[in-house]
Amino acid sequence: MNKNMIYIEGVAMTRFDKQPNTLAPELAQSAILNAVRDANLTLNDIEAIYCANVFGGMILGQLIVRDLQLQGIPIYNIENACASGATAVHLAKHALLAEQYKTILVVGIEQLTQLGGGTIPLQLNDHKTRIYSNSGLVLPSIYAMRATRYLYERDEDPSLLAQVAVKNRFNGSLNPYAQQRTPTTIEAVLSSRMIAEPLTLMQCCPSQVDGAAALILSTEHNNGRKPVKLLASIVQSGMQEKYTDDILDAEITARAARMAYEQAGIGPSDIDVIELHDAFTIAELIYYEALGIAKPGEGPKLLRSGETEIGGKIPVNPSGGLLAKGHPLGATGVAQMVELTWQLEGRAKERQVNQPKFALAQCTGGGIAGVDHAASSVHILGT
Amino acid sequence: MDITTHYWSQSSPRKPLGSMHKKSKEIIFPPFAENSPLANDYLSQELNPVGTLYSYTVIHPSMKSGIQPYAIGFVDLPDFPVRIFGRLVQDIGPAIGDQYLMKPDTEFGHIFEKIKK
Repeated sequence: MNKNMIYIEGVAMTRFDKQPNTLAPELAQSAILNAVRDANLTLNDIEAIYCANVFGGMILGQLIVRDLQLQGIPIYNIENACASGATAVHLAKHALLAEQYKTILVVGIEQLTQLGGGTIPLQLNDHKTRIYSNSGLVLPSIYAMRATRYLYERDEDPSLLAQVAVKNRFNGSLNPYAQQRTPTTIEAVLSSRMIAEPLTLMQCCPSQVDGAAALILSTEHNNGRKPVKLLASIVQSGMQEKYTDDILDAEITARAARMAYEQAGIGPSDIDVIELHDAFTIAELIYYEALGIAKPGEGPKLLRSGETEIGGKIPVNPSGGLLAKGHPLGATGVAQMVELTWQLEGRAKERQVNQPKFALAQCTGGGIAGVDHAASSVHILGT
Repeated sequence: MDITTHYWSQSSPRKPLGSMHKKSKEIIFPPFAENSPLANDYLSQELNPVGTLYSYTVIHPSMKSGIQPYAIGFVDLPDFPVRIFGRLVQDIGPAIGDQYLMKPDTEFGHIFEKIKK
Protein backbone atom coordinates (compact mmCIF):
# COMPACT_ATOMS: atom_id res chain seq x y z
CA MET A 1 0.00 0.00 0.00
CA ASN A 2 1.42 3.39 -1.00
CA LYS A 3 1.49 5.52 2.16
CA ASN A 4 1.07 8.74 0.18
CA MET A 5 -1.88 7.46 -1.85
CA ILE A 6 -5.40 8.47 -0.92
CA TYR A 7 -8.34 6.34 -2.02
CA ILE A 8 -11.99 7.26 -2.40
CA GLU A 9 -13.46 4.21 -0.68
CA GLY A 10 -17.15 5.01 -0.58
CA VAL A 11 -19.51 7.60 -2.07
CA ALA A 12 -23.17 8.53 -1.82
CA MET A 13 -25.52 11.42 -2.32
CA THR A 14 -29.17 12.27 -1.91
CA ARG A 15 -31.26 13.37 -4.82
CA PHE A 16 -30.84 17.12 -5.32
CA ASP A 17 -34.34 18.55 -5.15
CA LYS A 18 -36.63 20.79 -3.12
CA GLN A 19 -36.87 18.99 0.22
CA PRO A 20 -38.18 21.66 2.61
CA ASN A 21 -39.81 19.11 4.91
CA THR A 22 -36.59 17.23 5.53
CA LEU A 23 -34.15 18.62 8.10
CA ALA A 24 -30.58 19.28 7.00
CA PRO A 25 -29.18 16.70 9.46
CA GLU A 26 -31.49 14.05 7.98
CA LEU A 27 -30.30 14.78 4.45
CA ALA A 28 -26.67 14.62 5.52
CA GLN A 29 -27.16 11.48 7.62
CA SER A 30 -28.68 9.71 4.64
CA ALA A 31 -25.62 10.49 2.50
CA ILE A 32 -23.23 9.56 5.34
CA LEU A 33 -24.79 6.18 6.09
CA ASN A 34 -24.89 5.23 2.42
CA ALA A 35 -21.28 6.30 1.87
CA VAL A 36 -20.12 4.21 4.83
CA ARG A 37 -22.07 1.23 3.48
CA ASP A 38 -20.60 1.83 0.00
CA ALA A 39 -17.11 1.65 1.51
CA ASN A 40 -17.87 -1.64 3.26
CA LEU A 41 -17.04 0.07 6.54
CA THR A 42 -18.90 0.86 9.75
CA LEU A 43 -19.31 4.25 11.39
CA ASN A 44 -16.75 3.20 13.98
CA ASP A 45 -14.09 3.10 11.25
CA ILE A 46 -14.46 6.88 10.71
CA GLU A 47 -11.78 8.85 12.57
CA ALA A 48 -12.79 12.40 11.64
CA ILE A 49 -15.54 14.22 9.77
CA TYR A 50 -15.18 17.29 7.56
CA CYS A 51 -18.54 19.02 7.03
CA ALA A 52 -18.98 21.56 4.23
CA ASN A 53 -21.88 24.01 4.35
CA VAL A 54 -22.52 27.70 3.64
CA PHE A 55 -25.86 28.85 5.04
CA GLY A 56 -26.75 26.20 7.64
CA GLY A 57 -25.45 27.99 10.73
CA MET A 58 -22.81 27.20 13.30
CA ILE A 59 -21.56 23.70 14.21
CA LEU A 60 -23.82 22.00 11.68
CA GLY A 61 -21.41 19.06 11.47
CA GLN A 62 -21.83 18.27 15.17
CA LEU A 63 -25.60 18.52 14.78
CA ILE A 64 -25.54 16.03 11.91
CA VAL A 65 -23.33 13.58 13.77
CA ARG A 66 -24.90 13.86 17.25
CA ASP A 67 -27.41 11.04 16.71
CA LEU A 68 -25.04 8.74 14.79
CA GLN A 69 -23.48 7.43 18.04
CA LEU A 70 -19.98 8.47 17.03
CA GLN A 71 -17.85 8.74 20.14
CA GLY A 72 -16.60 12.30 20.13
CA ILE A 73 -14.38 12.13 17.05
CA PRO A 74 -13.12 15.46 15.63
CA ILE A 75 -15.60 17.29 13.41
CA TYR A 76 -14.47 20.23 11.31
CA ASN A 77 -16.98 22.69 9.79
CA ILE A 78 -15.81 24.24 6.53
CA GLU A 79 -17.16 27.21 4.54
CA ASN A 80 -15.66 28.45 1.26
CA ALA A 81 -18.82 29.53 -0.62
CA CYS A 82 -19.68 27.23 -3.54
CA ALA A 83 -16.26 25.60 -3.24
CA SER A 84 -16.90 24.49 0.37
CA GLY A 85 -17.28 20.79 -0.44
CA ALA A 86 -14.16 20.68 -2.59
CA THR A 87 -12.26 22.60 0.08
CA ALA A 88 -13.33 20.05 2.70
CA VAL A 89 -11.90 17.25 0.53
CA HIS A 90 -8.70 19.25 0.14
CA LEU A 91 -8.30 19.73 3.89
CA ALA A 92 -9.08 16.09 4.58
CA LYS A 93 -6.32 15.15 2.16
CA HIS A 94 -3.87 17.29 4.15
CA ALA A 95 -4.78 15.50 7.36
CA LEU A 96 -4.40 12.08 5.75
CA LEU A 97 -1.03 12.95 4.26
CA ALA A 98 0.08 14.25 7.66
CA GLU A 99 -0.91 10.82 9.04
CA GLN A 100 -3.34 12.35 11.54
CA TYR A 101 -5.99 9.85 10.45
CA LYS A 102 -6.35 6.85 8.15
CA THR A 103 -10.03 7.24 7.27
CA ILE A 104 -12.04 10.47 7.00
CA LEU A 105 -15.62 11.13 6.00
CA VAL A 106 -16.36 14.31 4.04
CA VAL A 107 -19.96 15.47 3.85
CA GLY A 108 -21.42 18.46 2.00
CA ILE A 109 -24.91 19.67 2.79
CA GLU A 110 -27.11 22.63 1.84
CA GLN A 111 -30.78 23.50 2.11
CA LEU A 112 -31.31 26.48 -0.16
CA THR A 113 -35.10 26.23 0.14
CA GLN A 114 -34.62 27.58 3.68
CA LEU A 115 -33.47 30.91 2.18
CA GLY A 116 -36.88 31.45 0.61
CA GLY A 117 -35.81 31.90 -3.02
CA GLY A 118 -34.01 34.57 -5.03
CA THR A 119 -30.32 34.83 -5.72
CA ILE A 120 -27.66 33.71 -3.25
CA PRO A 121 -26.73 36.54 -0.86
CA LEU A 122 -23.30 38.16 -1.26
CA GLN A 123 -20.81 38.67 1.57
CA LEU A 124 -21.68 42.23 2.60
CA ASN A 125 -19.14 42.67 5.39
CA ASP A 126 -17.08 44.73 2.95
CA HIS A 127 -17.41 48.31 1.71
CA LYS A 128 -16.80 47.50 -1.97
CA THR A 129 -19.23 44.56 -2.15
CA ARG A 130 -21.86 46.57 -0.25
CA ILE A 131 -21.65 49.53 -2.67
CA TYR A 132 -21.78 47.25 -5.71
CA SER A 133 -24.60 45.17 -4.24
CA ASN A 134 -26.55 48.38 -3.66
CA SER A 135 -26.27 49.02 -7.41
CA GLY A 136 -27.52 45.55 -8.31
CA LEU A 137 -24.50 43.24 -8.23
CA VAL A 138 -25.62 39.63 -7.75
CA LEU A 139 -24.04 36.39 -8.92
CA PRO A 140 -26.20 36.06 -12.07
CA SER A 141 -25.25 39.59 -13.13
CA ILE A 142 -21.54 38.80 -12.87
CA TYR A 143 -21.90 35.79 -15.16
CA ALA A 144 -24.25 37.73 -17.45
CA MET A 145 -21.64 40.46 -17.95
CA ARG A 146 -19.12 37.73 -18.81
CA ALA A 147 -21.62 36.34 -21.31
CA THR A 148 -22.21 39.75 -22.91
CA ARG A 149 -18.49 40.29 -23.33
CA TYR A 150 -17.97 36.70 -24.59
CA LEU A 151 -20.62 37.03 -27.31
CA TYR A 152 -19.20 40.44 -28.28
CA GLU A 153 -15.57 39.32 -28.52
CA ARG A 154 -16.29 35.95 -30.15
CA ASP A 155 -18.97 37.32 -32.49
CA GLU A 156 -21.40 34.63 -31.28
CA ASP A 157 -25.13 34.72 -30.56
CA PRO A 158 -27.05 33.49 -27.48
CA SER A 159 -27.93 30.15 -29.10
CA LEU A 160 -24.35 29.08 -28.34
CA LEU A 161 -25.03 29.55 -24.61
CA ALA A 162 -28.34 27.70 -24.90
CA GLN A 163 -26.53 24.71 -26.37
CA VAL A 164 -24.75 24.18 -23.03
CA ALA A 165 -28.11 24.05 -21.24
CA VAL A 166 -29.49 21.59 -23.80
CA LYS A 167 -26.50 19.25 -23.37
CA ASN A 168 -26.55 19.32 -19.58
CA ARG A 169 -30.34 19.04 -19.28
CA PHE A 170 -30.17 15.93 -21.48
CA ASN A 171 -27.51 14.46 -19.19
CA GLY A 172 -29.66 15.34 -16.18
CA SER A 173 -32.56 13.45 -17.72
CA LEU A 174 -30.43 10.30 -17.32
CA ASN A 175 -29.52 10.99 -13.71
CA PRO A 176 -31.95 9.94 -10.95
CA TYR A 177 -30.12 12.29 -8.53
CA ALA A 178 -30.74 15.40 -10.69
CA GLN A 179 -33.35 18.04 -9.91
CA GLN A 180 -34.12 18.81 -13.57
CA ARG A 181 -34.86 15.58 -15.46
CA THR A 182 -36.55 16.89 -18.61
CA PRO A 183 -34.57 17.29 -21.84
CA THR A 184 -35.00 20.61 -23.58
CA THR A 185 -34.31 22.44 -26.83
CA ILE A 186 -32.41 25.55 -27.81
CA GLU A 187 -35.72 27.27 -28.60
CA ALA A 188 -37.14 26.44 -25.16
CA VAL A 189 -33.99 27.65 -23.40
CA LEU A 190 -33.96 30.94 -25.30
CA SER A 191 -37.68 31.55 -24.77
CA SER A 192 -37.60 30.87 -21.01
CA ARG A 193 -37.90 33.97 -18.81
CA MET A 194 -35.07 36.48 -19.18
CA ILE A 195 -33.08 36.80 -15.94
CA ALA A 196 -29.96 38.82 -16.77
CA GLU A 197 -29.36 39.44 -20.46
CA PRO A 198 -28.31 37.32 -22.29
CA LEU A 199 -28.98 34.60 -19.65
CA THR A 200 -32.49 33.17 -19.51
CA LEU A 201 -33.93 31.11 -16.65
CA MET A 202 -32.88 27.76 -18.10
CA GLN A 203 -29.31 29.01 -18.34
CA CYS A 204 -29.11 29.52 -14.57
CA CYS A 205 -28.73 26.69 -12.05
CA PRO A 206 -31.83 26.29 -9.88
CA SER A 207 -31.65 28.40 -6.71
CA GLN A 208 -34.23 26.32 -4.85
CA VAL A 209 -32.56 23.00 -4.17
CA ASP A 210 -31.56 20.89 -1.17
CA GLY A 211 -29.14 18.01 -1.04
CA ALA A 212 -26.20 16.25 0.55
CA ALA A 213 -23.25 14.23 -0.68
CA ALA A 214 -20.62 12.24 1.19
CA LEU A 215 -17.41 10.42 0.46
CA ILE A 216 -14.88 8.48 2.44
CA LEU A 217 -11.18 9.12 1.95
CA SER A 218 -8.69 6.62 3.25
CA THR A 219 -5.02 5.77 3.02
CA GLU A 220 -6.08 2.12 2.79
CA HIS A 221 -7.96 0.45 -0.06
CA ASN A 222 -10.30 -2.30 1.07
CA ASN A 223 -13.68 -1.81 -0.60
CA GLY A 224 -13.38 -4.76 -2.99
CA ARG A 225 -13.72 -2.64 -6.13
CA LYS A 226 -10.97 -1.26 -8.34
CA PRO A 227 -9.24 1.60 -6.50
CA VAL A 228 -10.15 5.21 -7.25
CA LYS A 229 -7.27 7.46 -6.23
CA LEU A 230 -7.18 11.16 -5.42
CA LEU A 231 -4.28 12.17 -7.66
CA ALA A 232 -4.44 15.95 -7.25
CA SER A 233 -6.20 18.37 -4.97
CA ILE A 234 -5.79 22.12 -5.41
CA VAL A 235 -7.59 25.07 -3.83
CA GLN A 236 -6.69 28.61 -4.88
CA SER A 237 -7.99 32.07 -4.00
CA GLY A 238 -8.76 34.96 -6.33
CA MET A 239 -6.37 37.86 -6.83
CA GLN A 240 -7.49 41.47 -6.65
CA GLU A 241 -8.97 42.51 -10.00
CA LYS A 242 -7.05 45.03 -12.08
CA TYR A 243 -8.21 47.56 -14.62
CA THR A 244 -6.73 45.47 -17.42
CA ASP A 245 -8.24 42.12 -16.38
CA ASP A 246 -9.96 40.06 -19.05
CA ILE A 247 -13.18 38.79 -17.45
CA LEU A 248 -13.19 35.85 -19.86
CA ASP A 249 -9.89 34.23 -18.89
CA ALA A 250 -10.98 32.69 -15.51
CA GLU A 251 -7.44 33.18 -14.24
CA ILE A 252 -8.07 31.54 -10.86
CA THR A 253 -9.38 28.35 -12.45
CA ALA A 254 -6.65 28.21 -15.09
CA ARG A 255 -4.08 28.57 -12.29
CA ALA A 256 -5.69 25.85 -10.17
CA ALA A 257 -5.89 23.53 -13.19
CA ARG A 258 -2.22 24.01 -14.09
CA MET A 259 -1.24 23.14 -10.52
CA ALA A 260 -3.52 20.10 -10.47
CA TYR A 261 -2.15 18.72 -13.74
CA GLU A 262 1.37 19.14 -12.40
CA GLN A 263 0.48 17.42 -9.12
CA ALA A 264 -1.14 14.49 -10.94
CA GLY A 265 1.64 14.25 -13.53
CA ILE A 266 -0.80 14.34 -16.44
CA GLY A 267 -2.13 16.94 -18.88
CA PRO A 268 -5.53 18.06 -20.15
CA SER A 269 -5.44 15.56 -23.03
CA ASP A 270 -5.28 12.68 -20.52
CA ILE A 271 -8.59 13.60 -18.88
CA ASP A 272 -11.51 11.34 -19.86
CA VAL A 273 -14.44 13.00 -18.06
CA ILE A 274 -15.08 16.31 -16.29
CA GLU A 275 -17.56 17.69 -13.80
CA LEU A 276 -17.25 21.48 -13.82
CA HIS A 277 -18.96 24.44 -12.22
CA ASP A 278 -21.65 25.34 -14.78
CA ALA A 279 -23.64 27.57 -12.43
CA PHE A 280 -24.56 29.48 -15.61
CA THR A 281 -24.16 28.37 -19.22
CA ILE A 282 -21.38 30.86 -19.95
CA ALA A 283 -19.26 29.32 -17.19
CA GLU A 284 -18.92 25.98 -18.99
CA LEU A 285 -17.66 27.66 -22.16
CA ILE A 286 -15.12 29.74 -20.27
CA TYR A 287 -13.90 26.75 -18.26
CA TYR A 288 -13.28 24.65 -21.41
CA GLU A 289 -10.42 27.03 -22.12
CA ALA A 290 -9.32 27.59 -18.51
CA LEU A 291 -9.00 23.82 -17.98
CA GLY A 292 -7.04 23.44 -21.21
CA ILE A 293 -9.44 21.07 -23.00
CA ALA A 294 -9.98 23.75 -25.66
CA LYS A 295 -7.36 26.11 -27.05
CA PRO A 296 -7.90 29.84 -26.38
CA GLY A 297 -10.86 30.98 -28.47
CA GLU A 298 -11.95 27.44 -29.35
CA GLY A 299 -14.54 26.78 -26.63
CA PRO A 300 -17.47 27.22 -29.04
CA LYS A 301 -15.86 24.85 -31.55
CA LEU A 302 -15.43 22.18 -28.85
CA LEU A 303 -19.04 22.48 -27.75
CA ARG A 304 -20.38 22.33 -31.33
CA SER A 305 -18.19 19.30 -32.11
CA GLY A 306 -20.25 17.19 -29.70
CA GLU A 307 -17.07 15.94 -28.00
CA THR A 308 -18.26 17.16 -24.58
CA GLU A 309 -21.43 15.05 -24.78
CA ILE A 310 -21.57 11.70 -22.97
CA GLY A 311 -20.54 9.80 -26.10
CA GLY A 312 -17.78 12.27 -27.01
CA LYS A 313 -14.02 12.26 -26.43
CA ILE A 314 -14.17 14.44 -23.32
CA PRO A 315 -17.64 14.33 -21.74
CA VAL A 316 -18.36 17.36 -19.54
CA ASN A 317 -20.97 17.24 -16.78
CA PRO A 318 -22.43 13.79 -17.48
CA SER A 319 -24.37 14.21 -14.21
CA GLY A 320 -26.22 17.16 -15.73
CA GLY A 321 -23.91 19.58 -13.94
CA LEU A 322 -25.17 22.36 -11.73
CA LEU A 323 -27.63 23.43 -14.44
CA ALA A 324 -29.62 20.18 -14.30
CA LYS A 325 -28.50 18.33 -11.19
CA GLY A 326 -28.83 21.45 -9.03
CA HIS A 327 -26.39 23.37 -6.87
CA PRO A 328 -26.84 22.99 -3.11
CA LEU A 329 -23.68 24.96 -2.41
CA GLY A 330 -21.94 22.99 0.34
CA ALA A 331 -22.76 19.67 -1.32
CA THR A 332 -21.72 20.51 -4.88
CA GLY A 333 -17.97 19.91 -4.73
CA VAL A 334 -18.46 16.58 -2.97
CA ALA A 335 -21.24 15.54 -5.36
CA GLN A 336 -18.97 16.21 -8.35
CA MET A 337 -16.49 13.70 -6.94
CA VAL A 338 -19.28 11.23 -6.14
CA GLU A 339 -20.31 11.32 -9.80
CA LEU A 340 -16.73 10.96 -11.04
CA THR A 341 -16.10 8.02 -8.71
CA TRP A 342 -19.17 6.29 -10.12
CA GLN A 343 -17.89 7.05 -13.62
CA LEU A 344 -14.40 5.68 -12.91
CA GLU A 345 -15.85 2.56 -11.32
CA GLY A 346 -18.28 2.01 -14.20
CA ARG A 347 -21.32 2.50 -11.96
CA ALA A 348 -22.94 5.51 -13.69
CA LYS A 349 -25.55 3.45 -15.56
CA GLU A 350 -27.29 5.28 -18.44
CA ARG A 351 -24.90 8.22 -18.26
CA GLN A 352 -21.73 6.08 -18.11
CA VAL A 353 -18.92 7.45 -20.27
CA ASN A 354 -16.56 5.11 -22.12
CA GLN A 355 -14.03 3.45 -19.76
CA PRO A 356 -12.56 6.58 -18.16
CA LYS A 357 -9.15 6.41 -16.44
CA PHE A 358 -8.73 10.03 -15.32
CA ALA A 359 -11.46 12.43 -14.18
CA LEU A 360 -11.39 16.11 -13.21
CA ALA A 361 -13.68 18.06 -10.87
CA GLN A 362 -13.67 21.86 -10.89
CA CYS A 363 -15.58 24.08 -8.52
CA THR A 364 -15.53 27.81 -7.84
CA GLY A 365 -16.83 29.92 -4.99
CA GLY A 366 -17.83 33.56 -5.28
CA GLY A 367 -19.78 36.28 -3.56
CA ILE A 368 -17.47 39.24 -3.08
CA ALA A 369 -16.62 42.14 -5.39
CA GLY A 370 -13.15 42.83 -6.70
CA VAL A 371 -11.85 39.31 -7.43
CA ASP A 372 -12.31 36.95 -10.38
CA HIS A 373 -13.72 34.40 -7.92
CA ALA A 374 -13.09 34.03 -4.21
CA ALA A 375 -12.05 30.38 -4.49
CA SER A 376 -11.45 27.75 -7.13
CA SER A 377 -10.61 24.11 -6.69
CA VAL A 378 -9.52 21.41 -9.11
CA HIS A 379 -9.34 17.75 -8.17
CA ILE A 380 -8.09 14.92 -10.37
CA LEU A 381 -9.19 11.36 -9.72
CA GLY A 382 -7.78 8.27 -11.38
CA THR A 383 -7.91 4.49 -11.40
CA MET B 1 -19.98 54.96 6.90
CA ASP B 2 -22.41 56.58 4.43
CA ILE B 3 -21.72 54.50 1.35
CA THR B 4 -23.41 57.02 -0.93
CA THR B 5 -21.11 59.97 -0.19
CA HIS B 6 -17.68 58.98 1.11
CA TYR B 7 -16.15 58.45 -2.32
CA TRP B 8 -17.06 61.79 -3.89
CA SER B 9 -14.91 64.95 -3.84
CA GLN B 10 -16.35 68.16 -2.46
CA SER B 11 -15.10 70.09 -5.52
CA SER B 12 -17.50 71.29 -8.21
CA PRO B 13 -18.28 69.36 -10.31
CA ARG B 14 -17.85 66.49 -7.87
CA LYS B 15 -15.50 63.73 -8.96
CA PRO B 16 -15.23 60.11 -7.82
CA LEU B 17 -12.38 59.33 -5.45
CA GLY B 18 -10.08 56.35 -5.32
CA SER B 19 -7.09 55.30 -3.26
CA MET B 20 -3.76 55.32 -5.13
CA HIS B 21 -1.03 53.01 -3.81
CA LYS B 22 2.02 55.15 -3.03
CA LYS B 23 4.48 52.75 -4.69
CA SER B 24 2.65 50.87 -7.45
CA LYS B 25 0.32 53.82 -8.31
CA GLU B 26 -2.52 51.33 -8.70
CA ILE B 27 -5.99 52.70 -8.02
CA ILE B 28 -8.43 51.06 -5.63
CA PHE B 29 -12.14 51.90 -5.81
CA PRO B 30 -13.91 52.70 -3.55
CA PRO B 31 -11.20 54.41 -1.48
CA PHE B 32 -10.17 53.00 1.87
CA ALA B 33 -11.70 54.68 4.89
CA GLU B 34 -9.40 56.97 6.84
CA ASN B 35 -9.35 54.54 9.75
CA SER B 36 -8.39 51.57 7.55
CA PRO B 37 -5.09 49.97 8.59
CA LEU B 38 -4.15 50.15 4.90
CA ALA B 39 -4.80 53.89 4.54
CA ASN B 40 -1.18 54.92 5.24
CA ASP B 41 -0.03 53.15 2.07
CA TYR B 42 -2.43 55.06 -0.13
CA LEU B 43 -3.16 58.61 -1.27
CA SER B 44 -6.61 59.97 -2.09
CA GLN B 45 -6.96 60.47 -5.84
CA GLU B 46 -9.67 62.23 -7.85
CA LEU B 47 -10.69 60.12 -10.86
CA ASN B 48 -11.71 61.15 -14.36
CA PRO B 49 -15.49 60.46 -14.35
CA VAL B 50 -15.77 59.80 -18.11
CA GLY B 51 -15.21 56.19 -19.15
CA THR B 52 -15.93 53.39 -21.60
CA LEU B 53 -18.43 50.56 -21.10
CA TYR B 54 -16.51 47.25 -20.81
CA SER B 55 -19.50 44.92 -20.35
CA TYR B 56 -23.08 45.04 -19.14
CA THR B 57 -26.31 43.20 -18.55
CA VAL B 58 -29.95 44.13 -18.21
CA ILE B 59 -31.55 42.58 -15.14
CA HIS B 60 -35.18 41.47 -15.47
CA PRO B 61 -36.71 41.16 -11.98
CA SER B 62 -39.67 38.82 -11.61
CA MET B 63 -43.07 40.24 -12.55
CA LYS B 64 -44.31 39.96 -8.98
CA SER B 65 -41.50 42.22 -7.72
CA GLY B 66 -42.96 45.11 -9.72
CA ILE B 67 -39.42 46.32 -10.46
CA GLN B 68 -38.73 47.36 -14.05
CA PRO B 69 -35.68 45.97 -15.93
CA TYR B 70 -32.51 47.94 -15.31
CA ALA B 71 -29.03 48.01 -16.83
CA ILE B 72 -25.77 47.56 -14.91
CA GLY B 73 -22.22 47.28 -16.11
CA PHE B 74 -18.49 47.75 -15.73
CA VAL B 75 -17.09 51.08 -16.93
CA ASP B 76 -13.35 51.62 -17.44
CA LEU B 77 -12.19 55.06 -16.30
CA PRO B 78 -8.95 56.30 -17.93
CA ASP B 79 -6.01 58.48 -16.66
CA PHE B 80 -5.82 56.86 -13.23
CA PRO B 81 -7.22 53.62 -14.64
CA VAL B 82 -9.82 51.68 -12.73
CA ARG B 83 -12.86 49.55 -13.63
CA ILE B 84 -16.03 50.44 -11.70
CA PHE B 85 -19.39 48.69 -11.52
CA GLY B 86 -22.69 50.57 -11.39
CA ARG B 87 -26.13 51.33 -12.76
CA LEU B 88 -26.28 52.48 -16.38
CA VAL B 89 -28.69 55.20 -17.46
CA GLN B 90 -29.46 55.74 -21.16
CA ASP B 91 -32.35 56.30 -23.55
CA ILE B 92 -31.71 53.20 -25.63
CA GLY B 93 -29.93 49.97 -24.69
CA PRO B 94 -26.25 49.99 -23.69
CA ALA B 95 -23.50 48.79 -26.01
CA ILE B 96 -19.89 47.83 -25.28
CA GLY B 97 -17.66 50.81 -26.11
CA ASP B 98 -20.26 53.47 -25.25
CA GLN B 99 -19.03 56.49 -23.28
CA TYR B 100 -20.52 57.13 -19.83
CA LEU B 101 -20.23 59.88 -17.20
CA MET B 102 -20.03 58.75 -13.56
CA LYS B 103 -22.28 60.91 -11.37
CA PRO B 104 -23.26 60.94 -7.69
CA ASP B 105 -26.64 59.42 -6.90
CA THR B 106 -28.53 59.50 -3.63
CA GLU B 107 -29.96 55.98 -4.00
CA PHE B 108 -27.05 54.03 -5.47
CA GLY B 109 -24.08 56.19 -4.49
CA HIS B 110 -23.20 56.60 -8.15
CA ILE B 111 -24.64 55.98 -11.59
CA PHE B 112 -23.21 56.02 -15.09
CA GLU B 113 -25.07 58.28 -17.51
CA LYS B 114 -24.56 57.65 -21.22
CA ILE B 115 -22.89 60.54 -23.06
CA LYS B 116 -24.84 61.41 -26.16
CA LYS B 117 -22.73 61.66 -29.30
